Amino acid sequence: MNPYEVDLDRGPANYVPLTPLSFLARSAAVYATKPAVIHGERAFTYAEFYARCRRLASALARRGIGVGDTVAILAPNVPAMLEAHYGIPMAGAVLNALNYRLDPKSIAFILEHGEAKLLIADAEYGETVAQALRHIGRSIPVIAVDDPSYAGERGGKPPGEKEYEAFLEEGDPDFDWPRPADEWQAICLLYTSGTTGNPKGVVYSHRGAYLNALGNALTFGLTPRSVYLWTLPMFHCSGWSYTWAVTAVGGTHVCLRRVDPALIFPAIKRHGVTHMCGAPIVLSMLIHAPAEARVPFDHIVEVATGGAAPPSTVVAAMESMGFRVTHLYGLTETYGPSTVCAWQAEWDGLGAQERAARMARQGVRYPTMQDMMVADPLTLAPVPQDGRSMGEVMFRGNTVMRGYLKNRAATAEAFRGGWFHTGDLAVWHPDGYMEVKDRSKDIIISGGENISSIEVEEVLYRHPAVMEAAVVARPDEKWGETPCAFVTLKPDAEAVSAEELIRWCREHLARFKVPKHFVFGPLPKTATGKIQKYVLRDRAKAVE
Amino acid sequence: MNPYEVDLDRGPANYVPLTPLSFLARSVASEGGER
Repeated sequence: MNPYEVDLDRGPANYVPLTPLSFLARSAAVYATKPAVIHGERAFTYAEFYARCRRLASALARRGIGVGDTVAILAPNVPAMLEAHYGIPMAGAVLNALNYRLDPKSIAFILEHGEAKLLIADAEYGETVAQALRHIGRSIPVIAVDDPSYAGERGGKPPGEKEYEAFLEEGDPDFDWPRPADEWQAICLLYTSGTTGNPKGVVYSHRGAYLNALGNALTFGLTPRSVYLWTLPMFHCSGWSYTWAVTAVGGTHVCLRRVDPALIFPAIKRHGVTHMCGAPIVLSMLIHAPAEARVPFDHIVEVATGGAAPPSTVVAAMESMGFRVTHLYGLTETYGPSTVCAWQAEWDGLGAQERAARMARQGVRYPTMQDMMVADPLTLAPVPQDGRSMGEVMFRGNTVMRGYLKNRAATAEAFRGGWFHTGDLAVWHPDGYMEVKDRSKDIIISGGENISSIEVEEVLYRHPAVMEAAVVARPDEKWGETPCAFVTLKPDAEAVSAEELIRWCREHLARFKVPKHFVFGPLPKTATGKIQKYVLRDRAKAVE
Repeated sequence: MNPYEVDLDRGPANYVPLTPLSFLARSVASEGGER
């Protein structure tokens, strides 16, 4: 035995489970009087932010919620949503942030599958919650968030037994929250569209969340002076783990109820926003904002985007408005971003076209992701770094999910060969930068939201006049992609219009999943009768 | 047992010992030489 293995053991003084919750405790001590969270006319210092989160944890604990219990939240980027990322795991419980664009049936599925013990819901989604709860065979206590900046109807107020602020009053602001006994303990549950209709529940650990928060802070250059505007929904990968990253450095969170240029530009100017994230659609919205919505600002705002490569015209237009664009890539399964198109000094001198070509690449792994490769999905042999050979993007590291909840088969499939398989196909350039070329999964990404083409197809197949249906992505300047449906009607069916099928889809799907284009006719097939989706993808490009 | 304790184990894809040596490998990769 070597001498380093003797009397040098782990103990409470030198080995503590990693958790992003420790960032808040630290920032509350270091930046007690500094604004931690700004929302409209409200602002909370770090001391207040911490006290509110401890109240939330304490109020949950008093209701018997603890380790292994799921607490769901359906809310836009308001303070309650941010506090949920701390208060819920401080009770030992698991946070399940729900996508507010989903339809009531999907939300009901998630609440059931995730076994939510309590739901926190914003008044705006009162009707959605009421409908979702009707689908569920058991009652779930609801805490209603009544955000003062919500101007809409409160008629459909959630059947909440208590308002959120009153619920916080139940809790102890000095609650001595239980530290996680194990850093592998679950912190978040996030559902993602899979290749099958039902979404899969991705489970995050305290360890992974801690590491990706630090990876983000390092990669995006966050400092204690950073002011982060919440243009990215926090239900997406825990806000790409920025919910914890901004707190880690003691920066300021600026909440935003709605992603609207008329709110974004004034917030940038008023609060001196330094950083923000968003899907390419957010960048497009800013570029095409009406003149009266644009408030000029005289500093550089760093904006990170992902989900699709930012087109050169978008980068140029953003730069002319005072933004600097960073391209990130990741998935729900990797706590949000896990690669960055890291800037190289020699790119400074390149022309616009060449710079855009560099920036379109998804890049290199985060410093907190231990390994990435582009490889053959079967043999796991890395492809040559020649910028031409295609392979699947794979990750290995501590910011890869624990797995899919109650889905051993899907977890095993995703981790086969000891690597996480992203389902994205890419080339690997000689300089080590990876560039995604296609997705092997049947997923359409529209406005930053994943749509399972199979889920849409299933709805179309249920229409009495439809014989066959195939849904593929159609490139779209505004949304990145939109679903395009190819439909063959039954020979004896009466003619059905695209409008009728749109109505049908709206009844059965969330609005963003409804195909924007319909093409009627026979579908191209292989010799074995398989629908040739790549042919349809080409055809979709030409559809007007 | 709660559902988070079932079939969500540590494995080579999602649990790697932390080491600062991975930073050097990564900084080399950004210059195109990791493999």
